[in-house]
Amino acid sequence: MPHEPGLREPGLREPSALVVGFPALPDLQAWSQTLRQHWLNLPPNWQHWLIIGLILAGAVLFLDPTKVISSIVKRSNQGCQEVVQPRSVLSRDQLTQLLTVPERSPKDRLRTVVREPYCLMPSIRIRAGVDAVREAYPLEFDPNTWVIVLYEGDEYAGYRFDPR
Amino acid sequence: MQDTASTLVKAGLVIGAAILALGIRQWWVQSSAPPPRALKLQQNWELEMGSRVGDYLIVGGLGDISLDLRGDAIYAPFDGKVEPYAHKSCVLFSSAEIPAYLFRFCGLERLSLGAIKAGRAIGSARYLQFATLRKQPNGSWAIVEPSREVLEKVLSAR
Repeated sequence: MPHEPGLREPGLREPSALVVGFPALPDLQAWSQTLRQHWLNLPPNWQHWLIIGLILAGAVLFLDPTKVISSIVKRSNQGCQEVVQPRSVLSRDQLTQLLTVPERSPKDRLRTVVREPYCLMPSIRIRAGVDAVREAYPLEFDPNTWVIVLYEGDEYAGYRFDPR
Repeated sequence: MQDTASTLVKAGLVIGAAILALGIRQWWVQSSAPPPRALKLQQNWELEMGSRVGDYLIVGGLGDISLDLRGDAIYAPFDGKVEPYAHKSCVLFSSAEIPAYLFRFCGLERLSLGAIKAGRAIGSARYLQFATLRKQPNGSWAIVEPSREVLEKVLSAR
């Protein structure tokens, strides 16, 4: 855009205009007096509604709105990066066998029990120099609970239940 | 004028009620904190976190990374849970998203215990002691070398 000297002038004057036009600081005592007077002048049923509204606002805060909202919009395959086997679930038998495999066993030993996962979660490095692979399985008998299995290289590191 | 003033009355009362509710909630959260979680560590050293030398308490040991946080906050790296640890000012962070691992944070103030969303503040510290613990087949926890990636997540809010 070409430089237009004529437009610069009003822009430069703006800040000083703001300072001049700024209102003086309010007299807090007079304000609270006025507010009190207005509260007393309100019709009685108005006052009731205000109080009820305040109690409701307090209750909403107490319930933590973010938690309530997130539980409503929870996604079922949250955390998945890549779906591997959409029909994969973990049966009671498989879960029981999974619990018998000690941590730090070879990956293949666990894989013969649990087969292909529902999905892969993003790879992550928790320990220096070692990339962790995470695989997720919904439980056949409780689809809202998932089992997350973590491998490091060819080693099975552990599992956790994830209620979703 | 009457309209403006009644709006102001309403706004003032709503803000007051909100502050009161938050205060009560904070008190409720603190008073319903879970009991400290005890861990069996795989490494067993003569001088470790919580032991004493003369009149002084050891607040960091072999395996802890010490960070000069200058009073800044640390944040939950994943959705998870913050539990008190046997030593005061220490907490354990666990998450279903990272099986077989726990993080131990010490030196914290203004703790937030219980369930926590990723990116929310766990607490703040002048000096932070950070350890990564990995589960062993016998149920004990081994202190392992932490990665830069996790530490960077811990230091950044989302």
